Amino acid sequence: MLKAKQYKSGVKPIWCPGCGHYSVLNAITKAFAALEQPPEQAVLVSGIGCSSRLPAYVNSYGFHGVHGRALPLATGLKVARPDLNVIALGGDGDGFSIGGNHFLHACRRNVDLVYVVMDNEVYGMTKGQASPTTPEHWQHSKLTPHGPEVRPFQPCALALAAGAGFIARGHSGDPNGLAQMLFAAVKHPGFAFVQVLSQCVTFCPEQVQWKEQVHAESVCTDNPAEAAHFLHSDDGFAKGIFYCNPRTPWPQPHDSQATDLREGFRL
Amino acid sequence: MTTALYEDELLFLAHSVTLEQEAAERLYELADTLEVHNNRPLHTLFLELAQLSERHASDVLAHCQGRQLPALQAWEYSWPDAESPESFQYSQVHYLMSAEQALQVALEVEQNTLGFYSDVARRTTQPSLRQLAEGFAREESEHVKAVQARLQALQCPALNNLDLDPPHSPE
Repeated sequence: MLKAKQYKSGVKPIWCPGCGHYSVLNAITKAFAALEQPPEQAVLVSGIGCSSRLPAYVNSYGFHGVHGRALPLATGLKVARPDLNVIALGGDGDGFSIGGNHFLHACRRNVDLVYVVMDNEVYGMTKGQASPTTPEHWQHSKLTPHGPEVRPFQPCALALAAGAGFIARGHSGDPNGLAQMLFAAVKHPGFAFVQVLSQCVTFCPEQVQWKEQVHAESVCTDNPAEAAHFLHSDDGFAKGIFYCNPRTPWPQPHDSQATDLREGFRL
Repeated sequence: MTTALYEDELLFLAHSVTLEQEAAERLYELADTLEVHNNRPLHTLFLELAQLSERHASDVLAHCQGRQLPALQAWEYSWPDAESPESFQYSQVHYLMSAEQALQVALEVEQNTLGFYSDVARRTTQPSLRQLAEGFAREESEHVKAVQARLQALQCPALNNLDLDPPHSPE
């Protein structure tokens, strides 16, 4: 049985000091320790962005893919190797803009994998432009001097509408609570979506205040109407598991389409 | 915090070991981060603090020899806050951080830990647990004094704890 720190690869992260992603890395390693996850049976798949560097820092298999394509990669991998624990991850730009369409269809398709989005409401790697979750009046980018002037995405509500069976939100200020959430997400049969409010101290230093704004909510339901009501009246800072309604994942073990795919891609 | 912590010596020891080990791990991690960002003085300071924390963890482990501590998941610990009290929070650090700022945070987390042990010592009804917690609290008060002495030695003016360097935004 490995300890959490033994799931770290030894590669030193290059995230800015103060970045929330360190905490997500810690939460993932703590969840792996709790799951007694064999490193060789786990794969972290990412897209592009600061957060997408995370697979390099974990002692498991990893695939640093192309922008917005973490979910198609992860889906293909899980269909080909259903025995593996597949976790896709990335940021809000990667997941909801470049990869937005993949997000919707991954929720709908319900492949048994976890998708972690480290949401800092900004494109950090490219120096601080507005992303799909940036607040309407955020005026700190010269590209959008009056703010994006469009309403931000509501990722959890979108996930619910698109058919995700597990929807949760965590905060980087609480890596232990986030580890518990990730543990539950991995155990969930089917697609599990976890949004993590993860501060960017460089381009959005005001996000350090998130720790004062987040509030835990015990509202987990299997009723989509109740979940929709909660998510549409939510202030964006509630944390917890909001919706858990397992349905049969795709593909099933003897699904002929998946079996054909596996045979076709056998190495 | 759960009341079991105030009555169960093994549970208390499990918390104490994790508290010290997580503090050391976090400090090593921050030392790495600041090395990557070329803040050499802070890298060295965090390494020193990490080594001290590691020694404290060994001291606490010495109290546990021959005893089977409960195995807890990360979220099963009963901390006063989201994380163990001696861990630097990630958001307390930035790349231009000075030694003074780092020592101020070090002082804060040592005081948090002193408060944690003192609280257990005050609330427990178990004499052996009270003695143990009081002993740990005494050690922590020495750590607090040591950090205060280092801060005083710096003789610096009042601090602004913000990263005032604006991000580079070329667009």
